[in-house]
Amino acid sequence: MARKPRVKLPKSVAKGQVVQIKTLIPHKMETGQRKNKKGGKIPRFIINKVEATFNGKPVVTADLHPAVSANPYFAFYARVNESGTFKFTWTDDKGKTVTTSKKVAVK
Amino acid sequence: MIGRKILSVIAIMGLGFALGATNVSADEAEKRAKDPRNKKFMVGEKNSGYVYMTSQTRDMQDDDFGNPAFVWVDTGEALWNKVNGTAGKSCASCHKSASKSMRGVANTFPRYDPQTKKMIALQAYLQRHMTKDMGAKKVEMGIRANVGDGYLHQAAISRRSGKKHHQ
Amino acid sequence: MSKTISKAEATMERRDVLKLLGLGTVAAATGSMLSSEALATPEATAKYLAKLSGTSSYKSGKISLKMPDIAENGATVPLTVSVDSPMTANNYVKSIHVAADKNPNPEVVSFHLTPASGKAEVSTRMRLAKTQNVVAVAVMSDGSVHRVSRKVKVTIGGCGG
Repeated sequence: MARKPRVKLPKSVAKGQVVQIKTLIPHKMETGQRKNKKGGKIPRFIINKVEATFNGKPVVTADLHPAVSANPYFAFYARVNESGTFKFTWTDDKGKTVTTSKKVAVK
Repeated sequence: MIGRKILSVIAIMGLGFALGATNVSADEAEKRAKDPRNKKFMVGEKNSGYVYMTSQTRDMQDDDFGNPAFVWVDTGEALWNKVNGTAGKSCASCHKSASKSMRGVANTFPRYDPQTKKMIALQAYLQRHMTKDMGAKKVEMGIRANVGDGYLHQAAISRRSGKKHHQ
Repeated sequence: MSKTISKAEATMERRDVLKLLGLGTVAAATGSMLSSEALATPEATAKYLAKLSGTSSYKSGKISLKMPDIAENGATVPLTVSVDSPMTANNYVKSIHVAADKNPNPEVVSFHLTPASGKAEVSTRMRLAKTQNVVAVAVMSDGSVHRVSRKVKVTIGGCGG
């Protein structure tokens, strides 16, 4: 896949706090609509799934379609009750995945 | 100042957004041109497209995290600090911090080059400088070459917003 | 030393940067991408959402969709869907589906939430081919489904048109 994803979330929160998490991954998100110079279609190739888990349990999952812009950006929320690790996984049409993790501490 | 703005504007707005094109009404456009907060994006009669953007687009551009151009700026920063070439130096070895030493540089290109007696673009200038002064292998510039683009974009940072864009 | 840049310089940089970002020389490559393709219709979009949500009887009021009235660039239009919900184990938003009724295809994105989400608000950026309605539905844990729709004007389409 393309380059490294980015994730923005606070390093420490109060117990029970609901925090916003932002993610961005560079990717062309080739829709399958575009044509190459010879007139043939450039095949679809997108990231079709983004998953966020916390200490192994699912928080949010998103199913993406070609109408999502290039360099898919997502913001969503999570309630944090205990310290732990958020894990983010991006999956593309070929089944390849990219993951990144971020720790959060509960004050 | 304008170097980074141009980069970000282009990155966000895409091919369709020609300099000066706007979806803002004529009255609104005039109002924005008169707003004193837009002074720093205007030079005489020439206004940056930033002046006419709607607030959502401005927000997208100003957000160092969400503006995808900064992925390449970060790549450029990493390459800036990486040793490259027979001289055993990185860009940083001579130029130290790009955000200080390279401020405003990118938007002086293309410019007249006394050596070749022609106009030279930033890419060509970097290629010559790096191969000659760093002993770097022929540096590829262009869409497929991460290396060249990275350097290009680091050199194009003329102003970082100062906001931390990710933790 | 001039601080402004000429259109030629901007074009050169713009082309390189755009290719980098995959926004692509779409318009240059072809101007007729959409003309030979069928687009979604409001009916197909309604069917698509009904299939996902399990009903076509929708409530309104709890779900809101924030988008610009005019999309300056159809290739990246920000959107935020918010649903008024306590997000507790017994009362939460299970999924949010977003569709566009005149894109090449109606489907845009579907979010699956859990009570751990804490707040039913999601944001992303989407492509809009032309002026159309963007529709969002939220499926609640009790089975009820809320719907909201917004018309977004697009002057420069995000599919190369």
